[in-house]
Amino acid sequence: MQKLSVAGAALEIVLLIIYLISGSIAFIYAAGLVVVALMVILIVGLQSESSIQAERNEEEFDKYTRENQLLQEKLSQSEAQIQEMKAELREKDEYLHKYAVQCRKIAEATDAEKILSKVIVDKTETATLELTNHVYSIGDWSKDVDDMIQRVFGQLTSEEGGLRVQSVRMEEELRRIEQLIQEFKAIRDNYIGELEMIEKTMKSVDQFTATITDLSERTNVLAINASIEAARAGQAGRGFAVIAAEVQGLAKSTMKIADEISTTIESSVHTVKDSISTYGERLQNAVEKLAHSGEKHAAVIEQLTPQIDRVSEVIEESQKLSSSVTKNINDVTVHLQYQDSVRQILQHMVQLFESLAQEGVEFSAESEQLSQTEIEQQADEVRRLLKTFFTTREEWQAFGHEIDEDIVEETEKSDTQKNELNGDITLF
Amino acid sequence: MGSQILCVDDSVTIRKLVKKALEPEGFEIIEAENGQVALDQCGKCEVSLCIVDVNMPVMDGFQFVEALKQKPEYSHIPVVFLTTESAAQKKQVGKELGVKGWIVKPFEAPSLAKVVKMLVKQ
Repeated sequence: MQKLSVAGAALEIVLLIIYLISGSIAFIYAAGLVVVALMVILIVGLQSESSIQAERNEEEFDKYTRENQLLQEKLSQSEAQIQEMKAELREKDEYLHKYAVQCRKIAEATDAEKILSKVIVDKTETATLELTNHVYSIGDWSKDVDDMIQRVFGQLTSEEGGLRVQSVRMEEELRRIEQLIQEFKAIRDNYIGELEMIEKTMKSVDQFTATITDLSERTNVLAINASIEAARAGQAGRGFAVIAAEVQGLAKSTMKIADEISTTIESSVHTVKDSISTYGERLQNAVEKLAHSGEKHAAVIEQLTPQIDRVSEVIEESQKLSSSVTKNINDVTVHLQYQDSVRQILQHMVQLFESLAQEGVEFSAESEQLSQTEIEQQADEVRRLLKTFFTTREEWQAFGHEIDEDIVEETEKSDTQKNELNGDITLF
Repeated sequence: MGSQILCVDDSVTIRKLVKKALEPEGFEIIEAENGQVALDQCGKCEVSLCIVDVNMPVMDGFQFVEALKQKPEYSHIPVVFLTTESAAQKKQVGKELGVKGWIVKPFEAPSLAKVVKMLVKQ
């Protein structure tokens, strides 16, 4: 080809020279010759070129054949790889499907957890509320008991009219009784002494009356003798006889008075003696009674004092107990509030699971469309799984009675016994 | 009855405990389970103090305080938060809202009563 180009170029130069030298006709003629010559040269050139080309083509054919074989081999390898990849893709599709199903299941489980969480919150809240009421009832009751003890026993030990004051008063009373006994004893002794004095005085008066009687008797005898002597004197003794009669009458009157005095004194002595005896006994009885009363007072005071001390202790203990109950209630109420924390923590857990489950649902929706039937199947499967875990009535009830018909029947049976027994009791 | 205290908490237990802690001190407790109900209660009673939880459904504690402060007739009512939240960041939010205090649950009845007495006196 290079050679042909060189020949062509040479021919063009020749033609240009001829054109420049001769005219147009000559030129055309010459050009025709040149063209013929050129064609001859070209054909010869082409023949040699084609043989070279044929050789080259053969070589290239061989080369292409080899390359084709290599490509064929590679193609078959690629096909095998494609098959492998398809198999892998099918596996991954299955895996993705399983994953999508699992995500749906987790979403269903999260809903179930939400329900169970609500059960926990409701039940614990109800229980905590009940507990709170009971705790405060105990507190109120304790306070009432303490108030009652303070009121009742407080009065007993109060400053005004209390047992302790009464006890002190009784002690004072006892001292007064003892003083009174001493005073009574002194009075009795004085009384007896004075009566004895009166008796002695009366006896001495009696002696005086005896003397008077004696004197009267002797005066009477003297008067009788004087009357006899006056009678003997006659007329001269008549005046003296009158005096003697008067003296005799006086002596008789004196005797009579002395007898009366003696009788009166004797009677008085008896009366005084009786009085000494009677009042002495009465005073003695009064003293004995007072002494007995004093002893009783002393015994009561002796018994009362430790009892009053015990009452004071009871009041103090009651106050301490009431304060302790109040403090314990305050502590318990602090712990009761953890229910609120538990509730919130549960809510946070549910929120986290919901968020994760939502991502799973979105993933499964993007990657794999699950049919409604499959979704329902997952829901059923989760419920079946849950059923294997459930142990409490609240769990069953949270998911409806249809989950366990046996429980419903048992509930209905137990309802019939509610009137007789409190609580969930089943008798066989 | 004494001063009216509005207790805003979605936990019935907490409301009960607040009631039991403050009633013996002579306060009357009004209850609300969320901020919205609490706002309604403010219009019905002479509230002297609000004890408010932070996390509640419908309207939370922060939203309630914001709404309260925007109403001229209620903006003077002092508020104290009673919550399980203890993060300084949240407390700062409360402070910026103008609340008077922040009590972290669980609370002790005598302490709560002291705080309430202090704030109601003011």
